Amino acid sequence: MAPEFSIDLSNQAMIAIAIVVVVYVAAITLFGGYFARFNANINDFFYSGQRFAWWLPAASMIATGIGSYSYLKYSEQGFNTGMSSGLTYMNDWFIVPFFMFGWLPIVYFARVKSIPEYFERRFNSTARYIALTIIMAYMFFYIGYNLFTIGVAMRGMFGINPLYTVPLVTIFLGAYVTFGGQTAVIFTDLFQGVMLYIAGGIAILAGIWALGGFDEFWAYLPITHRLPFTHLTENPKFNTAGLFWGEALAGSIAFTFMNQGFIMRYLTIKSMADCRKAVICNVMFTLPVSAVIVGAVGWIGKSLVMKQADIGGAIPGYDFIDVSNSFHTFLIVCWITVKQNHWVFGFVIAALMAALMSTIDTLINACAAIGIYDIYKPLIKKDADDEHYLKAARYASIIATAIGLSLVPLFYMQKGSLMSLHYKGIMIIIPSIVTTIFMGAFWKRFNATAACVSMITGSILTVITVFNPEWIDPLAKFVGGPVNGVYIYMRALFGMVVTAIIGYIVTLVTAPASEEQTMGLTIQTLDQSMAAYKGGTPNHVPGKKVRELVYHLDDTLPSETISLPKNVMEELKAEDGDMIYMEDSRWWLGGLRSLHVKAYTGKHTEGVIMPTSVRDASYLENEQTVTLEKIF
Amino acid sequence: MKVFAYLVPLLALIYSYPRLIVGWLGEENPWTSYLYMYGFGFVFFFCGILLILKTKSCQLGRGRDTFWFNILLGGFVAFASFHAIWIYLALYMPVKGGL
Repeated sequence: MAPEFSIDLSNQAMIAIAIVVVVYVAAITLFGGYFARFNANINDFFYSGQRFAWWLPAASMIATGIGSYSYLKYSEQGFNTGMSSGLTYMNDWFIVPFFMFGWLPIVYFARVKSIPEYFERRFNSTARYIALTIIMAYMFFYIGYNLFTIGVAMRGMFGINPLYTVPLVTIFLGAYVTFGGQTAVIFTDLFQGVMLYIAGGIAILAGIWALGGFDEFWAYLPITHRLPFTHLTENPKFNTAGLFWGEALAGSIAFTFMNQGFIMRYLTIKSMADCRKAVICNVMFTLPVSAVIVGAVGWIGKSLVMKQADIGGAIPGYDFIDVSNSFHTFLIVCWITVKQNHWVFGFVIAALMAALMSTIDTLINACAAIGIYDIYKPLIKKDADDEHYLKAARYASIIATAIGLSLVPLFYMQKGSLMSLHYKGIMIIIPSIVTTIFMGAFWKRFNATAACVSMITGSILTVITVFNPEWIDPLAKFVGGPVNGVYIYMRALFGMVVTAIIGYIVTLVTAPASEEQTMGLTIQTLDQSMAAYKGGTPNHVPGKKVRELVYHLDDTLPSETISLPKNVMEELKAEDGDMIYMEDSRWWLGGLRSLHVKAYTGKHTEGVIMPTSVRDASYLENEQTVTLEKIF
Repeated sequence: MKVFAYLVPLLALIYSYPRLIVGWLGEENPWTSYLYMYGFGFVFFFCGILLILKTKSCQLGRGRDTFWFNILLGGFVAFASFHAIWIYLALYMPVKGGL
């Protein structure tokens, strides 16, 4: 389906919009490039050295979770089905216990660099490369889909063939990821998250204003469009039963457990306690607010159309709204409700670009991490220095971007709403791997043979249902879902069930996984994992933060250690050898200048004593004070 | 055999629960969708809670685990309440835009 030109822009408007967008993209590229200086090694490039406070990655996840596709996809869905469009952002809580106390501590304490690496350590290298294939398919799908939607938006505004616009945009956004790395991604996403909320807020307020206030908006919204849930089974492509099994379970597990981009964000955080704060912030606040930001223009559009029908024409002072091509709901409603103001509309479009950049930068960085840690390092060049891997990481970023770009034409060949295009692909790719991750992390007996057989067979059977959807009928009927032959979400349930059954049977008829293979990599062995992470027995007694301590240098101390006065150790509730997080006292840096060290009790009575190597590794500046916090 | 002791009642629940709520309220009723989502959601969530307690990944009384455990339970109640209030407001506030 080729979405056609949908809003009529004058030359002056086009120039204004183009100026705002180009200035914005250039500013972000420069801003991201600044952070290249914080990449001392490959670990910094991808993981920023596990140094950040929770709020920094959590805030940057706003922009990561909202892609350019989000505005277009959820506005279209919101216009068609109402507030239930936001359900996919608000049904993640069911999996939070598994993530917060299971998967997250497993990958964090095992210092897993990529999800395929987990598969190698937990199972074997065959499992690693099967997982890698599926995960890369998932990531490239997202990159391609993001680029496709920006092409849709460009065509809707300017009528320009995406053949020209998409590659141009791709070159710009690839630049700062390639040179900035994870720190650049986090800081630019933090900034862009704010931009997204401001621009979304402007579009919403303009729409509510056009309607005559919130009461009018709510009153003109049909009841079906006000509800947070859609009909249980009626719409074959968007129904509550399917959304629960396919999106709330499979989709949410995929997005949180195996999306390398999100996992890498958590791996940049300084402690598990802060990781948990980031999880809560993300699921409880960021996702629901984002649901409103990306979907509300569609709800407002529906309300405006109903009001137009009621008063028999356009709303006084505004052009008539006609959403004949629902792909462009967001653009059409926004353009008319901001009264064709070029600069305001340009700002909103810049935010759309921000959404694209902030999602894709994470995906590109994540693909590059997998490319280096799972392909280049183990298979091509094992023992090179960090400088070499940094260079390779930048090439990997370019390759990931190019592959994503090459997938864009495939989306143009598909039919359906933007939402259904998205989930049609995702629900085929993810079921087997999310089930295998789940079984691997939570069932100690699950072994390598079972993982490999179930991933391959589960994936093949899921793909076959595309051609034989009737295979899903019995399962859909069993769970009370729609039985209509048009399966999107139920396909994921089918894939998960067959993968689980195969995995279970193969595990029972083969030898269980050995103790060494599960050590620290399953929920049952987390205590060992924490001890290995610390290099000693964890000390869980909660202590207090100690702030504003001056530091002195003493190169007779061993590297990666600091010496603290007895009273400071007592306040921290720390014992000799405990892991301490030391950061620049300026909280708003979010841990940009910080380090994990081991603390020992010294004979001095005030301040912190550290070797020069610790000062340098933590990027501390002269004359700055430090804040200390015991990790465990 | 132990697994079947859990599996059979679970499958019976998965099969009968949607039929029960549809029979009681009808497919059209928005509360049916709500109960489907939060009914099955609770089963999955509860399995997660049992798992993290049984495996001692979450140990009440250790460090700040109790705090996080309470957040987990509170979050579920908060989301369920939020969606229930939303449905109530959607159904019972005046409408000009039709059904």
